[in-house]
Amino acid sequence: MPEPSSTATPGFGPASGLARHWRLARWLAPAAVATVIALLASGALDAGADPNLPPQSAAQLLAAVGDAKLVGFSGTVVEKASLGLPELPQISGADPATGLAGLLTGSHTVRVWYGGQTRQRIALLSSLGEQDVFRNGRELWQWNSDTRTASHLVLPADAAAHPGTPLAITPDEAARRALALIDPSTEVSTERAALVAGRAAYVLVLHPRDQRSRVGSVRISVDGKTKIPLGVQVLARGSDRPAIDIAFTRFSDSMPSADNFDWTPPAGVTVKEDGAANPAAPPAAPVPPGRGGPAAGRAPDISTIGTGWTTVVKLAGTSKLPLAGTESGPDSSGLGAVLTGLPEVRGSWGSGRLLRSALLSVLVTDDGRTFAGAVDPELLYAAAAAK
Amino acid sequence: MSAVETGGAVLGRGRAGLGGGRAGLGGAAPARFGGRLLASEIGMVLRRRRNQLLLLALVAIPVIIGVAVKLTTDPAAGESAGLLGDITNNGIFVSFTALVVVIPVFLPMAVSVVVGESIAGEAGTGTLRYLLTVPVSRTRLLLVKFAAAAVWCLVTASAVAVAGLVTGFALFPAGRVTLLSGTQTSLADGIGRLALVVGYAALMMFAIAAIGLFISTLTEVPIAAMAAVLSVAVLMQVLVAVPQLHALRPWLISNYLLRFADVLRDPLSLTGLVPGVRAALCYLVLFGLLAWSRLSTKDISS
Repeated sequence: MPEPSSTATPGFGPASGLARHWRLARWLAPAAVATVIALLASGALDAGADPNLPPQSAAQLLAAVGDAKLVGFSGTVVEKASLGLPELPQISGADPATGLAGLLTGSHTVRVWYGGQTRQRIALLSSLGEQDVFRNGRELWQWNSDTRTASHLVLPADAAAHPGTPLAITPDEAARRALALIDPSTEVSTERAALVAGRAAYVLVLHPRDQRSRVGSVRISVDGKTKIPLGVQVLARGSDRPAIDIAFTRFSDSMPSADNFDWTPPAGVTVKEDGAANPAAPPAAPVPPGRGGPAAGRAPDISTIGTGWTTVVKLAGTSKLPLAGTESGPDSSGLGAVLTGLPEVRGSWGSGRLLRSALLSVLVTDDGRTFAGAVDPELLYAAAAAK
Repeated sequence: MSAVETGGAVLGRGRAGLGGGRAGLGGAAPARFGGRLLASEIGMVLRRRRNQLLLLALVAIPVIIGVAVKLTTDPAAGESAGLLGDITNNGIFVSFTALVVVIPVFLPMAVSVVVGESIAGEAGTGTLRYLLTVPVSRTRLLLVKFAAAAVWCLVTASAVAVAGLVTGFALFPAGRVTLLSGTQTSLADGIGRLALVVGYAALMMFAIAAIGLFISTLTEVPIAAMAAVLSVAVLMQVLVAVPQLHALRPWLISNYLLRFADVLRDPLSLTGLVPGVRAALCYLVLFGLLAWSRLSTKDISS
């Protein structure tokens, strides 16, 4: 009943010379597929893609970014940090994808919905969990799927546009912060347009003029259509790979639907009512650990020294790295081990330990002060000497 | 041979008015033969005692998880964290938790047993030679073997999910499903999302089955093929876990096995599944072709 097959050599192994060539040729198919996969993965085939945008000067672009109206957008942001920090020991139970220390290493994915100044949603995705901040008018909800807890805050009626909402981790906010630093201390230029999230984008490059800054350049991709920043890369001085890379991988400039901002806690979830924000008690400010918000809620004494690119952050009254500020218990012992592994430094300002990476320098003095900045260590010593 | 005879009989009886119907059957003979080979292959996989025991062990995992959570959760103690904590709120999470547990090791193990057997087993017992003298083309034999393995992947993943649903709904409440985003969706939508996860898990296992099929064409000792497939699966897990080798990760299928969390988010976005699907398809095509090259050039003398 079966029909003889036309394609194959059934039965015993082929023997003739022609068949031997045929046998070798059969291995060409998987080899070809492997080559195609490798080519596609390396991106060699899409290197020629050149987005076509009308040329704009750096000043024109800066003005356009300043005028850009944020009506509504949604998208996915991927944040990659390779600061060259020492590998922090994995603490059991602590998800590396969350927490402030988590944001400083590795790669993170954030989904963002923006529906105007008072309607936002941000979701920090982890492997099998999610942390969300929903803001709709005065209602602010925070949700953590790992602990299954929610907290609720009713903002004061005159709340600012960003009352501690961690928009700082979106390219938009990061770019605005970088642009705020532009003053005579910065050299601004443009580069060839690039593709970000599949959209043609202008590239603005900021070079700090101050050689003591560890920042070599900041590259900002600006959407050609909406002039919204789509990506920010921070390159350390003398490095051609970004130490920080925040960019949209998907971006839609249409207004997200309203139900993205509404949230009600599911049944059986403990809800912490924070009430109206009370300015009299800032230490209790409900900044959850690791939301990327200012850590000021827990660390009592943070001050900055200097301005612009060479700003140094000073943390007094702690013997730990600032990264440890939001954690407790076993974490501190793990960080203590890291700390004692750092090289000792001493000078007229005293003695301490220095963490030095391509982009960041952190000095922890023996008398319990911490200085950090994207600057050369000499600036930290100077700050420490100034008391 | 029987088909030829039947065909002759059909021709002979064509005049009797039965020919119209029968002739159609005669024309469909190759497809029928492939179908019959596939059906017998699937039947062989499912009837083998070893595989039935494997399936039973897999089905036991969601039951154990459900019972353990039921016994150890103190209602007064409040919520426990994470996916396991969701179980007490909705039985459907027994399925999700069980899938997370079985996907990294247990499912690859079940796949490796079946797929390691497939070609090497026939070669080892000497039946491969006879199978090919039927004659059936080597390409078709490979396709049938892979299809049977794919059915096995689907059966195992679905069995875990269904056993999880049965256990979950027997021990815990059903109702609206709380997603990772903290929003709730209907039970039907939740089960639809579970089906997506089952499909994703099955696709990942297809990739491992393709690796296994290739390994199975390299040897005539089925147990060696099984061990090799499982070793490869576990080795890839180990490589993914080593931080210093993170550059390798995008190339390893084990990196994507559990990347289905996006199915449980609101609004549903499947873009998070794309890298895993892409990687699985690459593995599928590459190792499928390698197996084809190997089998079609192999000297089969036993």
